[in-house]
Amino acid sequence: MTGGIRRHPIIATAVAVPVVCALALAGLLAAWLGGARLPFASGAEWFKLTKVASADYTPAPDKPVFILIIGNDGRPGDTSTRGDAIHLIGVNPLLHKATMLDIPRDTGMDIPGHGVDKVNAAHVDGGPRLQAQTIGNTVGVQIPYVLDTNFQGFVDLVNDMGGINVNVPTPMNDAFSGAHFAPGPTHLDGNSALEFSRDRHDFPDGDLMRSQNQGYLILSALTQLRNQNPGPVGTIQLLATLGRHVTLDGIGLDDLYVLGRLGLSIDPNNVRNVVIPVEQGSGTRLTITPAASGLFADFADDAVLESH
Amino acid sequence: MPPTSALRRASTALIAAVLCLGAAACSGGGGSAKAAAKPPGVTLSISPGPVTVAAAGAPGVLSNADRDAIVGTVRTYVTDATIDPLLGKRVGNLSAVFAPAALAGTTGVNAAVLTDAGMPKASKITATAQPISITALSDPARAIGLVGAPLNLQVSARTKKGLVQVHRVGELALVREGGSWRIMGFRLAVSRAGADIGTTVPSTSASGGAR
Repeated sequence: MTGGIRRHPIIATAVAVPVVCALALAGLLAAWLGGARLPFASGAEWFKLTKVASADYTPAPDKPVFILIIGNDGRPGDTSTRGDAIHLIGVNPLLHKATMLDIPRDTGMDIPGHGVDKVNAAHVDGGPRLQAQTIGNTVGVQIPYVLDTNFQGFVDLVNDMGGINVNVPTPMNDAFSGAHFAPGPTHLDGNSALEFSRDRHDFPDGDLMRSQNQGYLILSALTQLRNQNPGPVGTIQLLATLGRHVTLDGIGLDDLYVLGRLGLSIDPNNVRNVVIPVEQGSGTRLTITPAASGLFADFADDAVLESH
Repeated sequence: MPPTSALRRASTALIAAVLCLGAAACSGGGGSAKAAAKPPGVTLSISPGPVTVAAAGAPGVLSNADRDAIVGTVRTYVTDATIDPLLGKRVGNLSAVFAPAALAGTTGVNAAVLTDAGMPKASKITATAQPISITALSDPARAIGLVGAPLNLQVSARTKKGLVQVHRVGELALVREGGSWRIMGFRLAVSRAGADIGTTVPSTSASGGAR
Protein backbone atom coordinates (compact mmCIF):
# COMPACT_ATOMS: atom_id res chain seq x y z
CA MET A 1 0.00 0.00 0.00
CA THR A 2 2.83 2.35 0.71
CA GLY A 3 4.87 1.04 -2.14
CA GLY A 4 3.63 3.79 -4.43
CA ILE A 5 4.87 6.52 -2.13
CA ARG A 6 8.14 4.82 -1.71
CA ARG A 7 8.35 4.66 -5.42
CA HIS A 8 7.50 8.40 -5.80
CA PRO A 9 9.03 10.27 -2.79
CA ILE A 10 9.46 13.49 -4.74
CA ILE A 11 5.80 13.59 -5.70
CA ALA A 12 4.71 12.84 -2.14
CA THR A 13 6.88 15.59 -0.72
CA ALA A 14 5.78 18.03 -3.37
CA VAL A 15 2.17 17.45 -2.38
CA ALA A 16 2.57 17.21 1.37
CA VAL A 17 4.52 20.44 1.92
CA PRO A 18 1.93 22.76 0.35
CA VAL A 19 -0.87 20.87 2.09
CA VAL A 20 0.73 21.26 5.50
CA CYS A 21 1.50 24.91 4.82
CA ALA A 22 -2.06 25.57 3.65
CA LEU A 23 -3.52 23.86 6.69
CA ALA A 24 -1.25 25.79 9.02
CA LEU A 25 -2.14 29.05 7.31
CA ALA A 26 -5.84 28.22 7.47
CA GLY A 27 -5.58 27.39 11.13
CA LEU A 28 -3.79 30.61 11.92
CA LEU A 29 -6.27 32.67 9.94
CA ALA A 30 -9.22 30.93 11.55
CA ALA A 31 -7.70 31.54 14.97
CA TRP A 32 -7.15 35.20 14.09
CA LEU A 33 -10.73 35.60 12.95
CA GLY A 34 -11.87 33.76 16.02
CA GLY A 35 -10.31 36.38 18.22
CA ALA A 36 -6.89 35.06 19.10
CA ARG A 37 -4.01 37.46 18.57
CA LEU A 38 -0.42 36.84 17.73
CA PRO A 39 2.12 38.20 20.15
CA PHE A 40 2.92 41.28 18.11
CA ALA A 41 -0.69 42.42 18.33
CA SER A 42 -1.59 41.31 21.82
CA GLY A 43 0.39 43.72 23.90
CA ALA A 44 3.45 41.55 24.20
CA GLU A 45 6.28 43.18 26.05
CA TRP A 46 8.22 44.42 23.08
CA PHE A 47 5.28 46.42 21.80
CA LYS A 48 3.76 47.30 25.16
CA LEU A 49 3.34 50.97 25.95
CA THR A 50 2.50 51.90 29.51
CA LYS A 51 1.25 55.25 30.68
CA VAL A 52 0.98 56.10 34.34
CA ALA A 53 -0.74 59.09 35.88
CA SER A 54 -1.97 60.02 39.32
CA ALA A 55 -4.17 62.62 40.96
CA ASP A 56 -5.08 63.59 44.50
CA TYR A 57 -7.98 65.93 44.97
CA THR A 58 -10.22 67.22 47.70
CA PRO A 59 -12.18 70.45 47.33
CA ALA A 60 -10.50 73.22 49.27
CA PRO A 61 -11.83 76.54 50.55
CA ASP A 62 -11.12 79.40 48.18
CA LYS A 63 -10.09 81.83 50.91
CA PRO A 64 -8.08 81.73 54.14
CA VAL A 65 -9.48 79.68 56.98
CA PHE A 66 -8.94 80.38 60.68
CA ILE A 67 -9.16 77.67 63.31
CA LEU A 68 -8.69 78.01 67.05
CA ILE A 69 -7.17 75.10 68.94
CA ILE A 70 -7.71 75.13 72.71
CA GLY A 71 -6.34 72.92 75.42
CA ASN A 72 -8.39 73.54 78.53
CA ASP A 73 -7.52 72.63 82.10
CA GLY A 74 -10.60 70.51 82.60
CA ARG A 75 -10.39 67.39 84.70
CA PRO A 76 -13.13 64.84 85.25
CA GLY A 77 -15.99 66.48 87.13
CA ASP A 78 -15.01 70.05 86.33
CA THR A 79 -17.88 72.22 85.22
CA SER A 80 -15.87 75.36 84.57
CA THR A 81 -12.62 75.23 82.66
CA ARG A 82 -10.03 77.72 81.47
CA GLY A 83 -8.67 77.58 77.96
CA ASP A 84 -4.95 77.63 78.73
CA ALA A 85 -3.22 76.36 75.59
CA ILE A 86 -4.35 78.67 72.83
CA HIS A 87 -3.27 78.52 69.19
CA LEU A 88 -4.88 80.36 66.31
CA ILE A 89 -4.08 78.72 62.99
CA GLY A 90 -4.61 80.52 59.72
CA VAL A 91 -4.42 78.47 56.54
CA ASN A 92 -4.11 79.90 53.06
CA PRO A 93 -5.33 77.15 50.72
CA LEU A 94 -4.19 78.90 47.57
CA LEU A 95 -0.64 79.55 48.73
CA HIS A 96 -0.44 76.27 50.66
CA LYS A 97 0.98 78.16 53.60
CA ALA A 98 -0.15 78.60 57.16
CA THR A 99 0.63 80.54 60.31
CA MET A 100 0.12 79.54 63.90
CA LEU A 101 -0.18 82.33 66.45
CA ASP A 102 0.62 81.06 69.94
CA ILE A 103 -1.29 83.04 72.53
CA PRO A 104 -0.07 82.93 76.14
CA ARG A 105 -2.94 82.19 78.48
CA ASP A 106 -2.28 85.24 80.67
CA THR A 107 -2.62 87.68 77.79
CA GLY A 108 -5.11 90.39 78.63
CA MET A 109 -7.94 90.82 76.13
CA ASP A 110 -11.33 92.44 76.05
CA ILE A 111 -13.79 89.62 76.60
CA PRO A 112 -17.19 90.60 75.12
CA GLY A 113 -19.63 91.17 77.95
CA HIS A 114 -17.00 90.67 80.64
CA GLY A 115 -14.38 93.37 80.18
CA VAL A 116 -10.61 93.01 80.06
CA ASP A 117 -9.29 89.86 81.64
CA LYS A 118 -6.82 87.08 80.95
CA VAL A 119 -7.79 85.40 77.70
CA ASN A 120 -8.10 81.98 79.34
CA ALA A 121 -10.96 83.34 81.43
CA ALA A 122 -13.09 83.72 78.31
CA HIS A 123 -13.43 79.95 78.30
CA VAL A 124 -14.90 80.12 81.81
CA ASP A 125 -17.19 82.97 80.86
CA GLY A 126 -18.62 81.56 77.67
CA GLY A 127 -16.83 78.41 76.60
CA PRO A 128 -14.72 77.94 73.48
CA ARG A 129 -17.04 80.04 71.36
CA LEU A 130 -16.58 83.15 73.50
CA GLN A 131 -12.85 82.55 73.67
CA ALA A 132 -12.76 82.39 69.86
CA GLN A 133 -14.78 85.58 69.63
CA THR A 134 -12.44 87.32 72.06
CA ILE A 135 -9.35 86.31 70.14
CA GLY A 136 -10.95 86.98 66.76
CA ASN A 137 -11.82 90.51 67.83
CA THR A 138 -8.28 91.11 69.05
CA VAL A 139 -6.49 89.71 66.02
CA GLY A 140 -9.01 90.98 63.47
CA VAL A 141 -10.28 87.74 61.95
CA GLN A 142 -13.43 85.68 62.01
CA ILE A 143 -12.82 82.31 63.67
CA PRO A 144 -15.56 79.95 62.55
CA TYR A 145 -14.00 76.72 63.79
CA VAL A 146 -12.81 75.72 67.25
CA LEU A 147 -11.23 72.46 68.41
CA ASP A 148 -11.27 72.15 72.19
CA THR A 149 -9.84 69.39 74.36
CA ASN A 150 -8.99 68.83 78.01
CA PHE A 151 -6.09 67.13 79.77
CA GLN A 152 -7.38 63.60 79.41
CA GLY A 153 -8.56 64.17 75.85
CA PHE A 154 -5.12 65.45 74.91
CA VAL A 155 -3.37 62.49 76.53
CA ASP A 156 -5.68 59.98 74.86
CA LEU A 157 -5.43 61.72 71.50
CA VAL A 158 -1.65 61.55 71.52
CA ASN A 159 -1.71 57.93 72.64
CA ASP A 160 -4.18 56.99 69.89
CA MET A 161 -1.86 58.65 67.40
CA GLY A 162 0.93 56.41 68.61
CA GLY A 163 2.78 59.26 70.29
CA ILE A 164 4.62 62.25 68.86
CA ASN A 165 8.28 62.55 67.97
CA VAL A 166 9.94 65.81 68.97
CA ASN A 167 13.42 67.18 69.23
CA VAL A 168 13.74 68.55 72.76
CA PRO A 169 15.76 71.78 72.40
CA THR A 170 17.05 72.26 75.93
CA PRO A 171 17.09 70.19 79.15
CA MET A 172 13.71 70.13 80.83
CA ASN A 173 13.46 69.28 84.52
CA ASP A 174 10.31 70.69 86.01
CA ALA A 175 8.66 69.13 89.04
CA PHE A 176 5.45 71.12 88.53
CA SER A 177 4.69 69.80 85.07
CA GLY A 178 6.59 66.54 85.51
CA ALA A 179 8.69 67.30 82.43
CA HIS A 180 12.07 65.58 82.59
CA PHE A 181 13.62 65.41 79.16
CA ALA A 182 17.18 65.46 77.88
CA PRO A 183 17.86 67.43 74.71
CA GLY A 184 17.52 65.52 71.46
CA PRO A 185 15.03 63.36 69.61
CA THR A 186 12.38 62.07 71.97
CA HIS A 187 9.23 60.04 71.53
CA LEU A 188 6.42 61.39 73.66
CA ASP A 189 3.41 59.37 74.70
CA GLY A 190 0.27 61.12 75.85
CA ASN A 191 1.37 61.83 79.41
CA SER A 192 4.88 62.95 78.49
CA ALA A 193 3.46 65.14 75.70
CA LEU A 194 1.27 66.82 78.31
CA GLU A 195 4.28 67.33 80.56
CA PHE A 196 6.32 68.73 77.67
CA SER A 197 3.57 71.17 76.75
CA ARG A 198 2.96 72.36 80.33
CA ASP A 199 6.54 73.08 81.35
CA ARG A 200 7.18 76.79 81.89
CA HIS A 201 9.56 76.81 84.85
CA ASP A 202 12.58 75.75 82.83
CA PHE A 203 12.58 78.92 80.76
CA PRO A 204 13.30 82.55 81.60
CA ASP A 205 10.30 83.69 79.58
CA GLY A 206 8.24 80.82 80.97
CA ASP A 207 4.76 81.27 79.57
CA LEU A 208 5.99 82.42 76.17
CA MET A 209 8.34 79.48 75.72
CA ARG A 210 5.65 77.10 76.91
CA SER A 211 3.27 78.52 74.35
CA GLN A 212 5.90 78.18 71.64
CA ASN A 213 6.60 74.58 72.65
CA GLN A 214 2.90 73.77 72.40
CA GLY A 215 2.91 75.14 68.87
CA TYR A 216 6.00 73.09 68.11
CA LEU A 217 4.25 69.99 69.41
CA ILE A 218 1.26 70.63 67.14
CA LEU A 219 3.56 71.07 64.15
CA SER A 220 5.48 67.92 65.05
CA ALA A 221 2.20 66.00 65.11
CA LEU A 222 1.25 67.46 61.74
CA THR A 223 4.63 66.51 60.30
CA GLN A 224 4.28 62.98 61.61
CA LEU A 225 0.79 62.56 60.19
CA ARG A 226 1.85 64.02 56.87
CA ASN A 227 4.77 61.64 56.64
CA GLN A 228 2.32 58.77 57.00
CA ASN A 229 0.75 60.09 53.80
CA PRO A 230 -2.81 59.05 54.57
CA GLY A 231 -5.31 58.88 51.76
CA PRO A 232 -9.04 59.40 52.12
CA VAL A 233 -9.49 56.24 54.22
CA GLY A 234 -6.57 57.08 56.50
CA THR A 235 -7.85 60.62 56.91
CA ILE A 236 -11.25 59.32 57.95
CA GLN A 237 -9.62 57.14 60.58
CA LEU A 238 -7.65 60.13 61.87
CA LEU A 239 -10.83 62.19 62.07
CA ALA A 240 -12.52 59.48 64.10
CA THR A 241 -9.59 59.53 66.51
CA LEU A 242 -9.76 63.30 66.72
CA GLY A 243 -13.50 63.24 67.23
CA ARG A 244 -13.20 60.86 70.19
CA HIS A 245 -11.05 63.30 72.15
CA VAL A 246 -11.81 66.78 70.86
CA THR A 247 -14.96 68.87 70.96
CA LEU A 248 -15.71 70.57 67.67
CA ASP A 249 -17.42 73.92 67.50
CA GLY A 250 -18.68 75.34 64.23
CA ILE A 251 -17.79 72.32 62.16
CA GLY A 252 -18.73 68.66 61.88
CA LEU A 253 -16.38 65.77 61.24
CA ASP A 254 -17.55 65.46 57.66
CA ASP A 255 -16.67 69.07 56.92
CA LEU A 256 -13.46 68.74 58.89
CA TYR A 257 -12.40 66.15 56.31
CA VAL A 258 -11.84 68.95 53.81
CA LEU A 259 -9.77 70.97 56.28
CA GLY A 260 -7.91 67.84 57.33
CA ARG A 261 -6.92 67.04 53.77
CA LEU A 262 -5.93 70.67 53.32
CA GLY A 263 -3.78 70.57 56.45
CA LEU A 264 -2.10 67.36 55.39
CA SER A 265 -1.29 68.90 52.02
CA ILE A 266 0.73 71.73 53.53
CA ASP A 267 4.46 71.28 54.00
CA PRO A 268 5.21 71.97 57.68
CA ASN A 269 8.14 74.07 56.46
CA ASN A 270 5.48 76.44 55.11
CA VAL A 271 3.91 76.87 58.54
CA ARG A 272 5.17 79.70 60.74
CA ASN A 273 4.94 79.23 64.52
CA VAL A 274 4.90 82.64 66.21
CA VAL A 275 4.19 83.71 69.77
CA ILE A 276 2.27 86.95 69.77
CA PRO A 277 4.30 89.87 71.16
CA VAL A 278 3.40 90.52 74.79
CA GLU A 279 5.02 92.17 77.77
CA GLN A 280 4.46 92.14 81.49
CA GLY A 281 1.34 94.05 82.40
CA SER A 282 -0.41 94.65 85.67
CA GLY A 283 -0.24 91.79 88.14
CA THR A 284 0.21 88.48 86.42
CA ARG A 285 -1.45 89.67 83.26
CA LEU A 286 0.46 90.06 80.01
CA THR A 287 -0.19 93.00 77.75
CA ILE A 288 -0.12 92.85 73.97
CA THR A 289 2.60 95.20 72.74
CA PRO A 290 1.92 97.92 70.16
CA ALA A 291 4.05 95.93 67.69
CA ALA A 292 1.36 93.29 67.64
CA SER A 293 -1.00 95.38 65.56
CA GLY A 294 1.24 95.06 62.51
CA LEU A 295 1.62 91.34 63.06
CA PHE A 296 -2.11 90.87 63.39
CA ALA A 297 -2.80 92.85 60.22
CA ASP A 298 -0.18 90.85 58.34
CA PHE A 299 -1.79 87.65 59.58
CA ALA A 300 -5.41 88.66 59.09
CA ASP A 301 -5.23 89.59 55.41
CA ASP A 302 -4.25 86.17 54.06
CA ALA A 303 -3.17 83.99 57.02
CA VAL A 304 0.45 84.31 55.88
CA LEU A 305 3.10 86.48 57.53
CA GLU A 306 4.87 88.31 54.74
CA SER A 307 6.60 91.00 56.75
CA HIS A 308 7.03 89.43 60.19
CA MET B 1 -2.07 2.61 -2.66
CA PRO B 2 -1.34 3.80 -6.20
CA PRO B 3 0.16 7.21 -6.59
CA THR B 4 -3.09 8.52 -7.99
CA SER B 5 -4.85 7.70 -4.71
CA ALA B 6 -2.26 9.56 -2.70
CA LEU B 7 -2.58 12.48 -5.03
CA ARG B 8 -6.37 12.36 -4.80
CA ARG B 9 -6.24 12.26 -1.02
CA ALA B 10 -3.80 15.15 -0.92
CA SER B 11 -5.90 17.14 -3.35
CA THR B 12 -9.00 16.52 -1.26
CA ALA B 13 -7.24 17.78 1.83
CA LEU B 14 -6.02 20.85 0.00
CA ILE B 15 -9.50 21.63 -1.28
CA ALA B 16 -10.93 21.10 2.18
CA ALA B 17 -8.33 23.44 3.60
CA VAL B 18 -9.11 26.09 1.03
CA LEU B 19 -12.83 25.66 1.68
CA CYS B 20 -12.21 25.99 5.40
CA LEU B 21 -10.15 29.06 4.73
CA GLY B 22 -12.87 30.57 2.62
CA ALA B 23 -15.56 29.66 5.10
CA ALA B 24 -13.58 31.11 7.92
CA ALA B 25 -12.96 34.28 5.96
CA CYS B 26 -16.66 34.59 5.11
CA SER B 27 -17.64 33.87 8.66
CA GLY B 28 -15.16 36.47 9.88
CA GLY B 29 -16.60 39.12 7.61
CA GLY B 30 -20.09 38.30 8.69
CA GLY B 31 -18.98 38.41 12.30
CA SER B 32 -17.67 41.94 11.89
CA ALA B 33 -20.94 43.07 10.43
CA LYS B 34 -22.80 41.50 13.31
CA ALA B 35 -20.47 43.03 15.83
CA ALA B 36 -21.31 46.44 14.48
CA ALA B 37 -24.97 45.77 14.89
CA LYS B 38 -24.80 44.00 18.22
CA PRO B 39 -23.93 45.69 21.50
CA PRO B 40 -20.31 44.90 22.24
CA GLY B 41 -19.55 42.53 25.06
CA VAL B 42 -19.09 44.34 28.35
CA THR B 43 -18.51 42.57 31.62
CA LEU B 44 -18.43 44.78 34.69
CA SER B 45 -17.87 43.19 38.10
CA ILE B 46 -18.07 45.45 41.14
CA SER B 47 -19.33 44.12 44.43
CA PRO B 48 -19.40 45.30 48.02
CA GLY B 49 -16.68 44.25 50.42
CA PRO B 50 -16.47 44.54 54.20
CA VAL B 51 -17.71 47.63 56.03
CA THR B 52 -15.67 49.17 58.86
CA VAL B 53 -16.97 51.97 61.04
CA ALA B 54 -14.42 54.50 62.28
CA ALA B 55 -16.24 56.03 65.21
CA ALA B 56 -15.77 59.29 67.05
CA GLY B 57 -17.97 57.91 69.82
CA ALA B 58 -20.51 55.15 70.00
CA PRO B 59 -20.36 53.68 66.51
CA GLY B 60 -23.18 54.17 64.06
CA VAL B 61 -24.26 51.57 61.53
CA LEU B 62 -23.99 51.81 57.78
CA SER B 63 -27.12 50.24 56.41
CA ASN B 64 -27.04 47.71 53.62
CA ALA B 65 -28.98 50.19 51.52
CA ASP B 66 -26.25 52.79 52.01
CA ARG B 67 -23.56 50.22 51.31
CA ASP B 68 -25.26 49.23 48.08
CA ALA B 69 -25.78 52.87 47.13
CA ILE B 70 -22.09 53.58 47.66
CA VAL B 71 -21.08 50.63 45.52
CA GLY B 72 -23.66 51.74 42.97
CA THR B 73 -22.04 55.14 42.76
CA VAL B 74 -18.65 53.52 42.18
CA ARG B 75 -20.19 51.32 39.51
CA THR B 76 -21.73 54.31 37.78
CA TYR B 77 -18.44 56.14 37.94
CA VAL B 78 -16.61 53.22 36.32
CA THR B 79 -19.27 52.99 33.64
CA ASP B 80 -19.18 56.71 32.90
CA ALA B 81 -15.43 57.13 33.12
CA THR B 82 -14.11 53.91 31.65
CA ILE B 83 -16.68 51.74 29.93
CA ASP B 84 -18.37 54.47 27.92
CA PRO B 85 -15.14 55.92 26.49
CA LEU B 86 -13.90 52.47 25.58
CA LEU B 87 -17.14 51.91 23.73
CA GLY B 88 -16.44 55.00 21.69
CA LYS B 89 -18.90 57.16 23.59
CA ARG B 90 -18.19 60.37 25.43
CA VAL B 91 -17.43 60.26 29.14
CA GLY B 92 -20.70 59.95 31.00
CA ASN B 93 -22.28 62.62 33.15
CA LEU B 94 -19.84 62.88 36.04
CA SER B 95 -22.02 65.41 37.82
CA ALA B 96 -24.27 62.51 38.69
CA VAL B 97 -21.55 60.78 40.68
CA PHE B 98 -19.33 63.63 41.89
CA ALA B 99 -20.42 66.10 44.54
CA PRO B 100 -20.81 69.62 43.14
CA ALA B 101 -17.85 70.83 45.19
CA ALA B 102 -15.65 68.14 43.67
CA LEU B 103 -16.61 68.64 40.04
CA ALA B 104 -13.82 71.16 39.57
CA GLY B 105 -11.42 68.36 40.31
CA THR B 106 -12.65 66.24 37.43
CA THR B 107 -11.32 68.54 34.75
CA GLY B 108 -7.91 69.49 33.42
CA VAL B 109 -5.06 67.12 34.08
CA ASN B 110 -7.16 65.19 36.60
CA ALA B 111 -9.48 64.10 33.80
CA ALA B 112 -6.75 61.93 32.32
CA VAL B 113 -6.50 60.11 35.64
CA LEU B 114 -10.20 59.88 36.39
CA THR B 115 -11.42 58.88 32.96
CA ASP B 116 -10.32 56.87 29.95
CA ALA B 117 -11.38 59.43 27.37
CA GLY B 118 -9.29 59.15 24.24
CA MET B 119 -8.64 55.44 24.54
CA PRO B 120 -9.16 53.41 21.37
CA LYS B 121 -12.61 51.98 20.82
CA ALA B 122 -12.97 48.44 22.08
CA SER B 123 -15.18 45.59 20.98
CA LYS B 124 -14.96 43.57 24.15
CA ILE B 125 -14.44 44.97 27.64
CA THR B 126 -13.92 43.18 30.93
CA ALA B 127 -13.73 45.37 34.03
CA THR B 128 -13.25 43.77 37.42
CA ALA B 129 -12.85 45.57 40.72
CA GLN B 130 -11.77 44.06 43.97
CA PRO B 131 -14.72 44.07 46.38
CA ILE B 132 -15.28 47.62 47.57
CA SER B 133 -14.41 47.74 51.25
CA ILE B 134 -15.90 50.75 52.99
CA THR B 135 -14.63 52.74 55.96
CA ALA B 136 -17.44 54.86 57.34
CA LEU B 137 -16.90 57.87 59.60
CA SER B 138 -19.39 57.83 62.45
CA ASP B 139 -19.69 61.14 64.30
CA PRO B 140 -20.40 61.52 68.03
CA ALA B 141 -24.13 61.44 67.25
CA ARG B 142 -23.58 58.11 65.42
CA ALA B 143 -24.47 59.68 62.11
CA ILE B 144 -22.60 58.56 59.03
CA GLY B 145 -22.21 61.03 56.21
CA LEU B 146 -18.71 60.33 54.91
CA VAL B 147 -17.02 57.13 53.80
CA GLY B 148 -13.76 56.13 52.25
CA ALA B 149 -13.49 53.33 49.72
CA PRO B 150 -10.45 51.86 48.02
CA LEU B 151 -10.76 51.24 44.30
CA ASN B 152 -8.70 48.61 42.55
CA LEU B 153 -10.02 48.17 39.04
CA GLN B 154 -8.55 46.06 36.26
CA VAL B 155 -9.88 46.63 32.77
CA SER B 156 -9.08 44.57 29.73
CA ALA B 157 -10.36 45.79 26.39
CA ARG B 158 -9.91 44.36 22.92
CA THR B 159 -9.41 47.00 20.26
CA LYS B 160 -8.56 46.81 16.58
CA LYS B 161 -4.90 47.25 17.41
CA GLY B 162 -4.87 44.63 20.10
CA LEU B 163 -5.41 44.30 23.80
CA VAL B 164 -5.51 47.40 26.01
CA GLN B 165 -5.29 47.14 29.76
CA VAL B 166 -6.16 49.78 32.32
CA HIS B 167 -5.40 49.52 36.01
CA ARG B 168 -6.92 52.20 38.22
CA VAL B 169 -6.08 52.03 41.90
CA GLY B 170 -6.47 54.34 44.86
CA GLU B 171 -9.13 55.61 47.21
CA LEU B 172 -12.34 57.55 46.96
CA ALA B 173 -14.10 59.68 49.55
CA LEU B 174 -17.88 59.76 49.23
CA VAL B 175 -20.39 61.95 51.00
CA ARG B 176 -24.07 61.53 51.57
CA GLU B 177 -26.02 64.05 49.53
CA GLY B 178 -29.71 63.73 50.10
CA GLY B 179 -30.56 60.15 49.38
CA SER B 180 -27.47 59.38 47.37
CA TRP B 181 -23.72 59.11 47.79
CA ARG B 182 -21.33 61.12 45.69
CA ILE B 183 -17.59 61.24 45.27
CA MET B 184 -16.12 64.32 46.93
CA GLY B 185 -12.44 63.48 46.83
CA PHE B 186 -10.02 60.98 45.43
CA ARG B 187 -6.47 59.79 45.33
CA LEU B 188 -6.05 57.67 42.24
CA ALA B 189 -3.33 56.37 40.00
CA VAL B 190 -3.93 54.87 36.59
CA SER B 191 -1.68 52.85 34.34
CA ARG B 192 -2.55 51.95 30.80
CA ALA B 193 -0.81 49.44 28.62
CA GLY B 194 -1.30 48.22 25.11
CA ALA B 195 -1.08 49.22 21.54
CA ASP B 196 -2.09 52.63 20.23
CA ILE B 197 -2.50 54.47 23.51
CA GLY B 198 0.56 56.66 23.12
CA THR B 199 -0.94 59.46 21.12
CA THR B 200 -4.32 59.61 22.75
CA VAL B 201 -3.78 59.44 26.49
CA PRO B 202 -1.47 61.97 28.09
CA SER B 203 0.77 61.00 30.94
CA THR B 204 0.06 63.31 33.85
CA SER B 205 0.55 63.68 37.52
CA ALA B 206 -1.86 65.97 39.21
CA SER B 207 -2.84 67.19 42.60
CA GLY B 208 -5.32 69.91 43.17
CA GLY B 209 -7.37 71.49 45.88
CA ALA B 210 -6.51 69.94 49.17
CA ARG B 211 -4.64 66.75 48.73
